Amino acid sequence: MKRPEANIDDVLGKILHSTPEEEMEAAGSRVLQRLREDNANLQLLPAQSSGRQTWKLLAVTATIVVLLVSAALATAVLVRTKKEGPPKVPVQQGASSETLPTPKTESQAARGEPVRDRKSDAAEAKLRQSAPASSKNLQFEVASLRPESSQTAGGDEGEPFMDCQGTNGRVRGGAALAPPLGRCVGRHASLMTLISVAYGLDELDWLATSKAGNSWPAWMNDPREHGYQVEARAENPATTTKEQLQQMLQALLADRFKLQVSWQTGEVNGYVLVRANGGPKLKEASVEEPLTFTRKPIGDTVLGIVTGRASMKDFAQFLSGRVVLQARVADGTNFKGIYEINVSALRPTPPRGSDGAPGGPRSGGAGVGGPSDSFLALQDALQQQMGLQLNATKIPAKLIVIDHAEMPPSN
Amino acid sequence: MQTTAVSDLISGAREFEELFREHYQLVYRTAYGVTGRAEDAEDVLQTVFLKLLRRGTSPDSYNNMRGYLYRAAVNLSLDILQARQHHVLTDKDDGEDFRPAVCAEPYGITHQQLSAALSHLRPRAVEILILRYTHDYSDAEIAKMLGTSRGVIAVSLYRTRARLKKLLRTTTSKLEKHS
Repeated sequence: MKRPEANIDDVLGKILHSTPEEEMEAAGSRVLQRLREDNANLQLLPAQSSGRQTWKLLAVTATIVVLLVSAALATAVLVRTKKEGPPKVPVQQGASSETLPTPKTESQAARGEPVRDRKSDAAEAKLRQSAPASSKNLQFEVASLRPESSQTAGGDEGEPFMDCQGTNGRVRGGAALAPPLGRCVGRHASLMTLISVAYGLDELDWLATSKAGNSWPAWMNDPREHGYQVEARAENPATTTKEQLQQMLQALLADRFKLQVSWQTGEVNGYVLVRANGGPKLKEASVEEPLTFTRKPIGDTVLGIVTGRASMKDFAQFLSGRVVLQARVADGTNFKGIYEINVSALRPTPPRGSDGAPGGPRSGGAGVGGPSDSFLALQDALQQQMGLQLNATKIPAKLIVIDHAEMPPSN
Repeated sequence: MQTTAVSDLISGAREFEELFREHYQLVYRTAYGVTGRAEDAEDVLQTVFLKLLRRGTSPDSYNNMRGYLYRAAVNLSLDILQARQHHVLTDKDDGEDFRPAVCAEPYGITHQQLSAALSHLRPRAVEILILRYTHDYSDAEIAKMLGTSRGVIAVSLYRTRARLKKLLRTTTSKLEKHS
């Protein structure tokens, strides 16, 4: 027999790859069963119930009592209906009122359906009022927002992120794994990041707002020293949409940061995608295909490729915010169909740290200084390969103004 | 509005079960690979998910739940190995306290002997080793998962194999001497 150490790769491969599958399945079932039991026990512990849960219990009890009383009253009315004929309900008509028989009541009673009276209507209205999560003032059921600087994180300086997961999708992103449904989770999130998620802003919104002359205290955009850890859950995670989560986050920020914002509309520097001289070189497509951007280093240059099938509006949207442009792009082509998009632009590798410096278009306007090599490469590619070009222009934008914000107390 | 610390982000029973079903094989395989015993693997599986159930998770865990569970499984398994290290290096316990987990013993090495050797390695090295040999990840995939370069993984595996050779040589010679 060979010495074991001479075949270490084989030894490891055979021994470490020998999990007994059936035993694993059985163990999985057993452990899951034990965890279910443990979970049930945990839920029975009084320490687990918060004050809010106690109130919820009381509310449910009160609701049941109201329903029972309503049912008793309805039964009494039903008996009276049979004895005295249809009940009469007040009908308001301008300033005067009169009593008229309810037309459906008789047939309802005849069918044995519950008869409604004012008291049961009032009870139902009360129930509606006590229904959770009214659309006007949405709030998280539970929320934790704690300061998290580089000191408090104990050296744990992961990438900042803030994510909310609703039934219809995610807001923002940044985390590799989406948070569970109906929840918002963030680490090292600055107030700017929190506002971005709460109000659905992107970097271009901030850029536009900043260029419009608005400025903010440094702490608001300092995730390392003034970051926040956020964990929040909606009352009904299974039915809460991302828009509702955003409203809840807005309420949380208003509560903790005393945040007040207002909106302005203005014009900012941007681009419009138009037909180039010589006409478009577009090929129509029947179905849409998501646009993708890939970079291929070739020697000292980088080949950037955009491919997919999309409308011109979507293509303009896709170009918005690209590092090379750093500005919004509006569609000015007036093409309504779906087109094959295939643009590749070759440009020199920028010096480290200079990539992304926005350059203005040839005709001036957006950006500071002359057009960058990247912009020129993109412009040439659009003209030659698609018969389109980008013209600098002023485009409308929504601007967020932070009227008031305070740092929350450290605890 | 009530602002209470949330430690029970995984509160829904259904959600927790989905999480369990998605990841329990990863945890079990990892624990079995390290400890070499089905009972220990089951213990690790239960402990990892029980912690998750009772303590909840931090947002970091959500960021990489798979990574979190994997690291927890490796660390707990190594703790178990540390606790029984002195037993494993003798063969008199075989068949009594320690049922051999692997019937086939490649090159005369049992899983227990390998586990004993693993207990001398750093957790990071064990993580990489198990990802490579138990979960069949390539060097590039491991590098991506652990946020490092492929070269670092290759070097780590090379060193770990060399160290294991040495450790197994010691183990087998002890056994031969004992017998």
